[in-house]
Amino acid sequence: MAETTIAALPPETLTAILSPLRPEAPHLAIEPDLSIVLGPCAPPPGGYAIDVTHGYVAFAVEGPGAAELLAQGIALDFDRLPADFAGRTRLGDISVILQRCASGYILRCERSYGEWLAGWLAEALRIRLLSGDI
Amino acid sequence: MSGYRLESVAQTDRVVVTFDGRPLAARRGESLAATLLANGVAIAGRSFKYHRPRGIAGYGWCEPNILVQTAQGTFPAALLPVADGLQARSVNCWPSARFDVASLLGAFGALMPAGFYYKTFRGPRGRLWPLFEPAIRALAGLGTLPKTEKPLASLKRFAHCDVLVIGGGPAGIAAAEAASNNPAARVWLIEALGISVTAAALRNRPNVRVLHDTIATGRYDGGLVVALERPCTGNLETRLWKIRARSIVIATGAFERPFVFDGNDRPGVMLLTAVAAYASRDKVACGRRVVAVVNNGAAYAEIAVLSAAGVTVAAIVDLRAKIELEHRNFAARNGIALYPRHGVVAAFGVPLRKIRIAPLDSPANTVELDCDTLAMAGGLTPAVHLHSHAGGKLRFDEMTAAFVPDGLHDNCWSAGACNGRYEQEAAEADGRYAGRAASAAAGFAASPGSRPEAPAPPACELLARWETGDGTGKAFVDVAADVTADDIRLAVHEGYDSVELMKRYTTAGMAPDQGRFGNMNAIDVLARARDIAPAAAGTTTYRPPFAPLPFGAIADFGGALLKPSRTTALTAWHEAENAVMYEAGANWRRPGYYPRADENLEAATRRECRAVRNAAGIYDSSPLGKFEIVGRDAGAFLDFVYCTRLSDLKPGLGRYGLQLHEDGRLFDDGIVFRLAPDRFFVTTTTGNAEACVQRFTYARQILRPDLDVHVLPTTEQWADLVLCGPRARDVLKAAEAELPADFGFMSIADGRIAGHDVRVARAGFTGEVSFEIFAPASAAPDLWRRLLEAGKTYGLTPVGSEANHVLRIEKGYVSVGHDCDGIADPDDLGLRFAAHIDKTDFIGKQAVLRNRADPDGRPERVGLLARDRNFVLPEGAAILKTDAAATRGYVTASCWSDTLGRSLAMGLLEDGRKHIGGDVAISLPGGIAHATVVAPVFFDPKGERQRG
Repeated sequence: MAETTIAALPPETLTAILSPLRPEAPHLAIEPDLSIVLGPCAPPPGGYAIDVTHGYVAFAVEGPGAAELLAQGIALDFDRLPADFAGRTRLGDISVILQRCASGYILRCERSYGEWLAGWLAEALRIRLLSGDI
Repeated sequence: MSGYRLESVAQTDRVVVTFDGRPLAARRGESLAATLLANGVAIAGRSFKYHRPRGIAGYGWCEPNILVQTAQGTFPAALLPVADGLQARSVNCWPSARFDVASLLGAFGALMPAGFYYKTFRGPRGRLWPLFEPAIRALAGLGTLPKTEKPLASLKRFAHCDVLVIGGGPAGIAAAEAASNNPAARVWLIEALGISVTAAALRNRPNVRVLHDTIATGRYDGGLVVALERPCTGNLETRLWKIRARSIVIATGAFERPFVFDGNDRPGVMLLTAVAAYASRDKVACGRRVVAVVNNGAAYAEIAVLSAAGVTVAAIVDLRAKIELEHRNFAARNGIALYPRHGVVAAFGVPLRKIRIAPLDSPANTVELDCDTLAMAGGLTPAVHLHSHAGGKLRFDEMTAAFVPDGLHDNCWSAGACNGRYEQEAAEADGRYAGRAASAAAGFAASPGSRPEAPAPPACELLARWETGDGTGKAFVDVAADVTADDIRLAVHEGYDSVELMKRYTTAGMAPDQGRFGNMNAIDVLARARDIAPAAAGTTTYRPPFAPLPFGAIADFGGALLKPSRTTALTAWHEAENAVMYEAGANWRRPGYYPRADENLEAATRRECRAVRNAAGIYDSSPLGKFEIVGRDAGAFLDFVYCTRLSDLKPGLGRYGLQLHEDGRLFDDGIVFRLAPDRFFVTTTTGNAEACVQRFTYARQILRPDLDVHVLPTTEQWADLVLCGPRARDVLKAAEAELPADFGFMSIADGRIAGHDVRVARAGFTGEVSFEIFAPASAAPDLWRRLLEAGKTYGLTPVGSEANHVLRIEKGYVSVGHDCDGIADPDDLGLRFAAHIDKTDFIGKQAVLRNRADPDGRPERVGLLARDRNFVLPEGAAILKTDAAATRGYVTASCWSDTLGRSLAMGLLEDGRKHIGGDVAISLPGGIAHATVVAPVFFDPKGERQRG
């Protein structure tokens, strides 16, 4: 099994919930009043649900070297990242939504940056392989 | 100077490298500097300015002289590890370092004093500089950029730790040990090249990570340290670390200080610590007859290292009159001649052949000593750079005649030699304290107690004197920048007497070694020239990087990854159709035009414009900013953010809206649609979409927290396909569009087109019947293809941004990026209809009111028709009221209109609307064009076509 793998994830249904109340469904907290829910979701009382399925693309970065690879562009302290971390951060010059999961990380970015991010991840992996760190 | 190896190289470590075409036997992994010395290469380069012959003078990061060129770039020889087959050559010389034609410059040294580049090349205008420039440019610089792509890669890496210790010497090791006693604390230790002496105690601590061969190049606010690792493992050239630490211990040691005398730059004149390090670490003797010149007792320990390694030390020249008994005995025991109270007056030979010394109090009584290596030990200068980078203060320590850190700075402790604690025991105690304190500050230890007292003045005192020459020749303070003591005195004489001015006037400290070799001597010469104490002279500002960083280490990934770029859902289609792609702001790439065979930009643009005016066009407007603004107070919020009244919009309708800066200038425009009483759909310009996110957020969170409103950017959710032209409806019908029957201008509705659920608005930017089709981005490629298919019989044509530009000028539409300057408000731009000043409040209202109270002299948007109808006025050209008058405005947008059969332009003109019907002059390179001022709407002024 490869040490670190990168895979574009198939399209997923995403719903933006605009409400100060966090939804109970699995969600990524993005702003004080904005959560992205994985899957369809009804609006909470006093809140709004807006489909954003087509606005993002997702990549899985998995394996024991996943954090090391992402640390080439993300300034977070991966050692101290909670196991259920999900939130917006920066990868290089773009905004991404980082989600920690059991096998590694899921990285979501705005659709328009998807091609660039795919290239960035591939290059980061290539350089990591060159480094001999694996 | 005739260096040699003190012990033979093991067969398995033997490699061959080439320097200036000459094969040299080397030990794998040693620095090229060690190889050069071991092979007796005395002259390895030429100096920066005078092209004087130079050799290795320092060790590791302290070597100031020799850069070499390899296929990968330019490197300091003392930091370049050798591998079999390495090919290097000297730089800044031709044809070779030993014989350099440009060394003739040295004969004209008197014509190149400090600041000569500020003084020379004046004369008959335009005659001398062209003469000098090519030669100066050819002589400038050290080395060349590699011509081929780098075979090795660089890696950038963010990292975090609790305590970062910078420096692997006694203080650093002690600090790392103390800081890592709590196993929960993540302690990182940075060790510079050649200092890999990590204590055994650290090796078994899993909470300690050591970065070998790494130099910290900068410390920044918030505990950020940037460090360069080179050489690296695998096929990496460099690894650039950006480390955030909760607390930091700086234990970067100190530099040895040279002396200043005539010829102190000759090959063979070196630092004593370097000569000792080459002997003890690399087993290389720098010469066969070494003389040491010292002004302190601590230097004798290094001389002892040399002797123990088998290097012949012939004499010691000690500036002090009173020399400790143990050191006198050491000299006697080893047969070393000792010259107390003497200094070096001059050095001779290339490479070094002899030196002239003289008693300090009787300079005429000179003595000449034969030697091939002169080892200088002028005391130590603490490496305070990292302490100072982020703002740490310094104080001058009279005892050691050096600047040392003045207290704690930003959870950062200096310890050991860089804190003025030079003796090993004191350095280790200081390091232990700093490690405990840093650990406590990071939350991993109890209070460290009080700092150990500075040790009593050392038994081996230092005589604070460094300039010992007789002033007859070139005595260098900064060999890397070719700055002499006389240069500094000249700077003072000419009024550049502050340390910062002196630095810039002479370039002292500005060469690749960044003053590590000579800064303290430059300060000393400056202070004496001004008859002030060094403490009063002060230091220059320490700025990162401490050591040179390769561009490749700093730069992000190359090629298409260098800068993020954004693609729409249709980019692949555009590229497949050979569209010429333009950068369109905010990292987007959009089609500029779609040339067919043999078409140039103009021909393609005219064809695309004709299609829109006469048949139908379609363009990809997906990068346009889009937002959902929802909440009970969404209307009130938009009334506040926009100067246009929007709260009275009825659901299903839209209105053109303007956002202003606080000073009344136009910030952005777009169309605001109301989807429901509590829900709006907003479009903004492409370039300002991200700025609108910030603005909406700021307004919502800070300016109007009382409003119940949420903002969601949806630019990426929706592709935006704009179908326009007199046959647009026919195309929609052919595509089986399901839209409301009474779908009027500025309406919005959900519907279906070609089997896809879409949101459609009756709005556009071309002046024709337009349908903005907002489709889920994933559906856009299929929908685009189906629309093109359906539109074939109606002449549907893909249109790029060039045609869009022409069509909107014909209609007189404002483009925020084109037609606004730093002054124009909505009234100036002819958009008064969209500024509802009677609203209670909106951002920019007071500024608009103020402008209306004083309307004269405002820049107003007008149309311009060139007198020569075939001449397209250049955008940006100045508008003059008469041929010779001052500038009164400028051309903001200009094009050729096939529809109207002539050129068109718009501009901002002072009191422009008062001049409608009059003529103006347009300033051109080498001439004037004339134009008539007209209203800025050239086509369908009543808007009948777009409403139709």
